[in-house]
Amino acid sequence: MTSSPTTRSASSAEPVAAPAPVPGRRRQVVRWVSALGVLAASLLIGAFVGPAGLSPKDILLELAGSLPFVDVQSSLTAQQQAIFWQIRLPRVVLGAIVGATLAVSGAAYQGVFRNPLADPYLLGVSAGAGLGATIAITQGGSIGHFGVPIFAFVGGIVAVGATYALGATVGGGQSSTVIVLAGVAVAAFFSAAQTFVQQWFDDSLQAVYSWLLGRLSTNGWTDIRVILPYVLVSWVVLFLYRRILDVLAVGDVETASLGIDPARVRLIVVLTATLGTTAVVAVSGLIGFVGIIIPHAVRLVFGASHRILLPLSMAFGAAFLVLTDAAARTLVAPAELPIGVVTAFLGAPFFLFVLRRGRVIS
Amino acid sequence: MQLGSVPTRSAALVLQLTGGFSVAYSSARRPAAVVGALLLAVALAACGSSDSQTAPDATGEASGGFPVQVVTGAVGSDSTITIEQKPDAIISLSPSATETLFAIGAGDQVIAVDDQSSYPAEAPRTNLSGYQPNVEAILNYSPDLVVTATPDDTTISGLSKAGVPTLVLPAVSDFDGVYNEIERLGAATGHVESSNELVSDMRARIDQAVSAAPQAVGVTYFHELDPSLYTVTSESFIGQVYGLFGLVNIADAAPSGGGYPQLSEEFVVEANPDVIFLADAAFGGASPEEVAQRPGWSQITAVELNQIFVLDPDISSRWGPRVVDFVENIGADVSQLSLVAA
Amino acid sequence: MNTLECRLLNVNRGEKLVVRDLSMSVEKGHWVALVGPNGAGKTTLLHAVAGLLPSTGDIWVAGQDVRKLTRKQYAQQVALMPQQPSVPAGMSVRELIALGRTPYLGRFATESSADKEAVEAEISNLDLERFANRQADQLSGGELQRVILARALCQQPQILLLDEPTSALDIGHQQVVLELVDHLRHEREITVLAAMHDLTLAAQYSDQIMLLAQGNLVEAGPPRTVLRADQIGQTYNAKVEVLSRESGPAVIPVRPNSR
Repeated sequence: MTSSPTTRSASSAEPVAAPAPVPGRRRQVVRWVSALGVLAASLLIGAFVGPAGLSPKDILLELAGSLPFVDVQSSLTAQQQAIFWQIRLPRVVLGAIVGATLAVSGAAYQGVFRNPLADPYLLGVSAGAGLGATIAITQGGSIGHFGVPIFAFVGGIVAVGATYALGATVGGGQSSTVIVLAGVAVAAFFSAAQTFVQQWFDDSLQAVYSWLLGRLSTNGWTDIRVILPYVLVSWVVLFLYRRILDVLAVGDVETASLGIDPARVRLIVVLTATLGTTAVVAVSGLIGFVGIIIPHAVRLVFGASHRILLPLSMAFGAAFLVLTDAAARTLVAPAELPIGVVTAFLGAPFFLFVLRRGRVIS
Repeated sequence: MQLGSVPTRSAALVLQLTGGFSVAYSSARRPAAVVGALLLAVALAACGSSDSQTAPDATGEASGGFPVQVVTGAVGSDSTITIEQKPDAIISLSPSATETLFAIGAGDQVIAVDDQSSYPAEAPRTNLSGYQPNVEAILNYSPDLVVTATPDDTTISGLSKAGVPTLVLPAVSDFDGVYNEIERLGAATGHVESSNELVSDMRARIDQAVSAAPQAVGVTYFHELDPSLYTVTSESFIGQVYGLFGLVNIADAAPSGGGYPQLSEEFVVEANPDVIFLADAAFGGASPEEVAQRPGWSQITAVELNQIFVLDPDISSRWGPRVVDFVENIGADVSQLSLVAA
Repeated sequence: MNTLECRLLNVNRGEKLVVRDLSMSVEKGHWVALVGPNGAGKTTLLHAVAGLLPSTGDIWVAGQDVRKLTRKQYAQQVALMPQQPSVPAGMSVRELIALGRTPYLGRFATESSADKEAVEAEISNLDLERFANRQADQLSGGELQRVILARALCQQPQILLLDEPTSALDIGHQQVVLELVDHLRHEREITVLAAMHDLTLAAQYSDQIMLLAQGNLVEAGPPRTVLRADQIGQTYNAKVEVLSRESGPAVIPVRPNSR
């Protein structure tokens, strides 16, 4: 994500009194070009690297050859073509979808709960989805195969609903501290239930653990086809709410006085973000960290308006997860690292870096 | 089913090899106990198997030579337990140990086995857990010897406070380890002679199986532990079994601390193994048909030649007497390979 | 014509009845000050009039029964300046002011160029140009009140509700903000309903004063009638003197023991 410092230094050239990014035309162009550039670069890197030694030239030829009216041939064997088209490329695309969805959902949760720490983990969504998926996996058979996304979704919704209900009864839904505390309690409860179910059905312990640790799946394009409808719905709806999320930032009373029903918005956005999160979590397992650091980094560098935050979080979240997965595939090749380990390992220092730069400016 | 260490939630991926052979794989840190056990076992693999390990005065089946001192822990461990008299209330929390106990004729001394000890059928299976041992539940059976594969200090010290010795027989790293643990069980239960007989019988059958099978030198294989492509290297005990037949492991290029790496899918396809062994077919996991349908896998030689073999998860994951069956099964599979003739 | 009329308004907060059988009518372009001791129900009444709290009884805004208004139509008629506006981190002053256009936007729409012009117009009306690109959370109290006022004006309301708009400001900034509101209401004929803490300022700026105590209307009328030393003494449990000045009555606290 080399573009962030560029844009940063552009804004640091401004007088200190005006640290807000000026939404000038040029700034906007820089912003979108850098985001798309980073995304495209990371997709290419993701496509280029991997334990199977495919040369970038051949990969470019393969990609070009797949375009209509372009007639070029790469020197890849049939087997290498299979590796590229059916294993590596779907994984890169899945990584982009998962990263974009986790980041945009994280930004949406943080928006509706007005809490910069809100993310699927903190709100109990992950724990609830974990319980749902564990139940599905332990049931085995066709439920274990196809039921994981549905069970994960139901679990996630129940958990976030519990968090919200608990927070609302105690703090009137206003205090973000109460929401976070409620989330911690709900997450603890669902984690305990998940552990109980998992220990009870210890036959499938290993499958459950694999899922919990997170891994971009090995199902080729199938997983992408399965989750794409849910993910697209969630992207589109969240994007529609980009301005309303900005309104919600001023608190429930003022939101209502501006003609928006905050409770209804919160319900729709939470359902939508949970739909997206649980859909990707169902195929990728629990990949932490993306939903919290990417929106934060985008806020620090580009500003907090959801009109910028949502699309940029998607672009950078996608780029981040594609790159971390590339690292997970290559660091100990031909073995693999769990991607959750890599996201934390690369993400934490990167986040500190962004935080430091953000501090210097303001 | 047993685990090398008690799993902590999501910090450690505990990879269960479906029967009892287990590997603990930690994202942050490999549990020291497992690494230690494996390293020790490797280092001391050369130290012969039986004579130095069993009690010096273990002589005959009738007398048993009690009290005996038996080495507890990994092969080459220097800690011992003392068994005052021939035990007749044994609890086995290890499926491998359960199989051995019945194979050496100590079956009628066994009063309870854990929930994963599925073989032999006459073993008194209970709901005791080997990897989440509950000391009170164990003591409820009034045992005079507990055998476990999990070196869990809390359980061991709890049992020893009640005067019950615990014999720890963890997962082994080679054939000598298998024999060594069988002989230690023989000494501990007063069946030295029949344990020696079992071991020499196993050695003979393995030699027979290996010489009967065609040498598959240069034939590559992939052993699938689970659908997320955890596998074994030649360094592991399972890998050594394949090595007997000259099979070459595709995972040996992978860096791994204990011989159980997780492979990249594209690497597996590129490595193009001639044979695939599925140890994860038990719980609706993988099947030859499912493997053939995986995206990109149709190009693999093993798929093209239909050389995908399903392993009995219990046999391929326990280190008891049925290791011989495992070797014989692999030998039979190797005999079917079309490449071997060529 | 009355812009605002309430009849037999009752408002609950939880189980507690906070405003009881309150009726009032406010003429267009008038400034009505709500005064009364802490807990009298001033904020609750404002929120009920803004449609933020459920209430029983009738409210008419510009001759329309508010029950027939959608939330957005409501927000086009009535704007609220809260006592302590929330200032989200990372939002610029311009962005914060632009939120005032929300009632005029389609469900998922963003601001049109006409909306943007309206925002810029209010920024220049309130002399906020040099703050427009600043982060809203870096403003001082007086600046922030002007920004929130600009946002409220972007709603182009008939009625402006102020909830103790100057309680956090020093006396100079209080005057600046109140003068501004007074100027705007004359210019645009906006009706102002303001909960006010300072009785002297309330008397100086308002046409009418409503004195509330424990959810009941004690008295409504011109400042000189309502602000009597005995009445204030009773309602607030305070000792005060009321001086009659040209600008209206001035309420001065008196130390109880110094008599």
